Amino acid sequence: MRTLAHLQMKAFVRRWPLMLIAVLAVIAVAAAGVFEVSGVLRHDAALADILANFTRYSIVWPLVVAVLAYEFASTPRLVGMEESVTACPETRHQHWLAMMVPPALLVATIFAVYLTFKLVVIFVARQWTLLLPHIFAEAVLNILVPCTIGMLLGVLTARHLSRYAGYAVIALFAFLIGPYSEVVPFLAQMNVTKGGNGIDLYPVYDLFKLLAPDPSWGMDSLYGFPLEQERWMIGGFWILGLVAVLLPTIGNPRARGIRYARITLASFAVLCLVAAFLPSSELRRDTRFFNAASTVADQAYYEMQIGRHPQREIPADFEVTRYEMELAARRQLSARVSMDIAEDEHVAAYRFTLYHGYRISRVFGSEGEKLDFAQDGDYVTVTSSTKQKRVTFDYSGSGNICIANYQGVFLPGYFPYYPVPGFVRVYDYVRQTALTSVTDRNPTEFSIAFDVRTPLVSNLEEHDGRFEGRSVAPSFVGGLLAQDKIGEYRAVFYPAGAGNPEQLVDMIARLREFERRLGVSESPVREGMTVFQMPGLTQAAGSVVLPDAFFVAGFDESLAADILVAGTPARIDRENLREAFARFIDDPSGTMDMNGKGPTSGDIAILEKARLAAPNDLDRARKYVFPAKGAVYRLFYEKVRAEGDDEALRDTYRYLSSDSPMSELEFLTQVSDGNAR
Amino acid sequence: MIQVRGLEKRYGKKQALGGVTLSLGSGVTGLLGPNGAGKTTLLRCMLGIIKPSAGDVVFGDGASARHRSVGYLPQKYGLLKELTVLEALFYFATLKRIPSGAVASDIDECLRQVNLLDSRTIKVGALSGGMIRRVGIASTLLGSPSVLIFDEPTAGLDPEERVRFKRLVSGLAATHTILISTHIVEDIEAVATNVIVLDQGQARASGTLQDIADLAKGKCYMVPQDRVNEYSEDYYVDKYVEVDGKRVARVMSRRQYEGFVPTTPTVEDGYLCVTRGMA
Repeated sequence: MRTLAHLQMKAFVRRWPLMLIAVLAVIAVAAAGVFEVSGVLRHDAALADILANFTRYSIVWPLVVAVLAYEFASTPRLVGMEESVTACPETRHQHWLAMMVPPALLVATIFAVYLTFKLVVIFVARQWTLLLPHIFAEAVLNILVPCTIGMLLGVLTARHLSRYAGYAVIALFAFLIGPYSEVVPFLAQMNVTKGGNGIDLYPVYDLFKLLAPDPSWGMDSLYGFPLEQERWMIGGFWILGLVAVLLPTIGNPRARGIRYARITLASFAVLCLVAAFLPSSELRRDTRFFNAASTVADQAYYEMQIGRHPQREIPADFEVTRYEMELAARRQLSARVSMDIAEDEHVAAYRFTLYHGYRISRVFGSEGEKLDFAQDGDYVTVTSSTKQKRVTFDYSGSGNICIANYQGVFLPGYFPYYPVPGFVRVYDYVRQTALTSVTDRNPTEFSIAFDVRTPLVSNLEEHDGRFEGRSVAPSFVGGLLAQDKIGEYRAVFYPAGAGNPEQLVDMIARLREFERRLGVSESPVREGMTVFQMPGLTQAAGSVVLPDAFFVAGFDESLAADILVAGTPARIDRENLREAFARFIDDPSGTMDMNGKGPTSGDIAILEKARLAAPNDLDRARKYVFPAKGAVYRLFYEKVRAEGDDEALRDTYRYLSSDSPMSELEFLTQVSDGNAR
Repeated sequence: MIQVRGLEKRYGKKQALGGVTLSLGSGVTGLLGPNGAGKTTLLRCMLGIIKPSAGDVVFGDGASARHRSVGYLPQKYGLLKELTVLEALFYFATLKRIPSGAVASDIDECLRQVNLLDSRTIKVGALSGGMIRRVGIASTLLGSPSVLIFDEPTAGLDPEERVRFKRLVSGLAATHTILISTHIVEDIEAVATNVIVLDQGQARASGTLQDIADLAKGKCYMVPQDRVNEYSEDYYVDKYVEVDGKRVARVMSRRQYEGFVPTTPTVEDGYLCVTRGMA
């Protein structure tokens, strides 16, 4: 066998076009690696972004391997050598195995070079301990598995198909595993945007999802590379399936167990396939509307089908005094949440809010009796004929904006991942993300056990494996994170992400300065709070300040502005002014047009339309918000120039924080009249 | 000794072999048949490369071809052109599990037999089609298999090499069971002792060279070329030959027309008689 492999290698090396392509492929991997290492040495970008460069092009390597495997393995058949070999039935399989050695070595070389450079990168970046297992898994899933499948497919097509047919199959393979095949299921589902049902072709699409679905998604600083369990299973299905098909060719025909081996491989392939489609909380960065774990699913759920899933606000008739939770994040979040309920009188219907991605299986009462419940979107109503002191929910499921699986956890307190008393709005239509207000909640006692395979941090203190304490809304973050005490704050940050948490002290000082200038008497950010860096997973939530923790996009100059505007109500008709205000705080010198030109009559008309549309017609209001941006900025800057920085900012902040019925246009023109115009 | 019993092969509705039964002893047997007669299918079934629809093949010791060493030269023979002749044969020697100590001498001997000893370091890609055929013959001989099966072995060989091949086969005939499939009767006449005529998937005739030739007895005639068109079409013109300076047609006919001069049939006549349904 070694002799055959050696001779096949000789033939491969001497076939210079194939060898050239193979060498170029390896050089490309190495070049990408060198680029990454130099990026780390020069501190060009965040480690996550540097590490992600390569993943975007990962379609190239399985394709190259498939083509080379086809070209090399088809040669004996095309030149007529195959039949001569079949006259050696005892050793014919060795011929095929030997023929697979060159493409297999190419796959191994690509993988080894890729992995080596990745290891060098994390070593140079001093994130060896944090990222080693993750990087290894990523290299296997995103490089080794697709390349192996490419090789097996190339060999299989070489065995049976002509060059045109073989290349057609390989091209189809490249299209299906590549990112652009999503256009088919994406278009098929589009009826959903019109309130219809659409056709869900994503299960078929998922069958070929060997690569990370979105080429722009390389690595998230918290979640890391996309390592979906589904893709492991899909990879296993294809590898086992293709080996089962190839086994009569590459296996010793005299081996007694070859038939059983094929059956076994095929059985495991089917098991992998079944496992791939089990419910899970994988984060899919594609554009499917159907699965709660896709990036746009929530947007589709709340915005495109708004009539089906209206947001509701009904205060609770009871109070939860204590939560006891048993959470586990594996393929998806599974939870048992018990609530001690204080109530003066019997409540016939207990209303709760729980994110719609979690499906409740059972609800128990104080005595362990099953209670009737109705789950309608984000809202749950539990009915009981008797007064309940304790209600327990069993549920499991997944979310996109806020995730919990074996790879990462991001369950901020503002997200209803546990039953919240009363019906509250879950979706913030202005920020376009799941963001529940917690201002009406009282601090409650929590005792939470969270079974998760990643490092986990909460704003609650951990004692003997349980997170305990009083909080308005406990938050959990798990994944590639670190925590440190920075000044008077506990900072939870992502070493692979951007920004230096040490800057937090300066940023808070800057915030305090602005708060002083704006006349903020009670800052929402208090010493001792936990500050969570917001991962890239979330959909534009911006900064969020909770009573005992706050979430920031990063530790940079924008932190002060973000936190200041985070404390103001999000209203679509004031969104432009919020943005202009934050931008001015962030960078007072600004880059906007300050030539003194006032808004045109067209600008005024658009602002008026936006005012009239909001808040009852969000879609219509949004339509006018963007065109009105320039006018608002110009008016705001005129106001600043006319009144002076401090007064204008103070006025604006007061206006943004208020429930005043005055429109953005009225506010800005009122001040501007007699000054700039 | 090779026994082929009731061998059938169907591809869907098409029957490529229709119950072929034959027996091969030591020496050279020629398998004659027109294109599409099923010769290659028969060989592939005998070798176990394709599974027959019915029937079986038993070698003298009771084993099937899958369990014994058979030298086989396929009709379409090729090699990895990036390897040298020596490396290519080394590859086949490894597949044939020839002990490593004997490989070099065995390869040299096979190359000598096909007159390629001096070309051993040349890459296959630089060889002519005929030379590749000779390398193929050499690879067939590797390991000294007792059964040799050649499918169109002289295709692409120049006349000199064809003579050399025939001489080689004659030399091996005493110790080997050799089956040569071809549609070139001349190759068979020179080396074979027995002939099987295959047509439309059926073994239509078998026997010694003389037996085959005798199938055309009384059906071969000479006719002057200028009189050929005078007769009805109930005969076949095989070829034109010069006899005593005159050009005459050698024809095959069930009837002796006036002017038809009987002539001694050859193996080719017998073969044509079979394939034309005149036997």
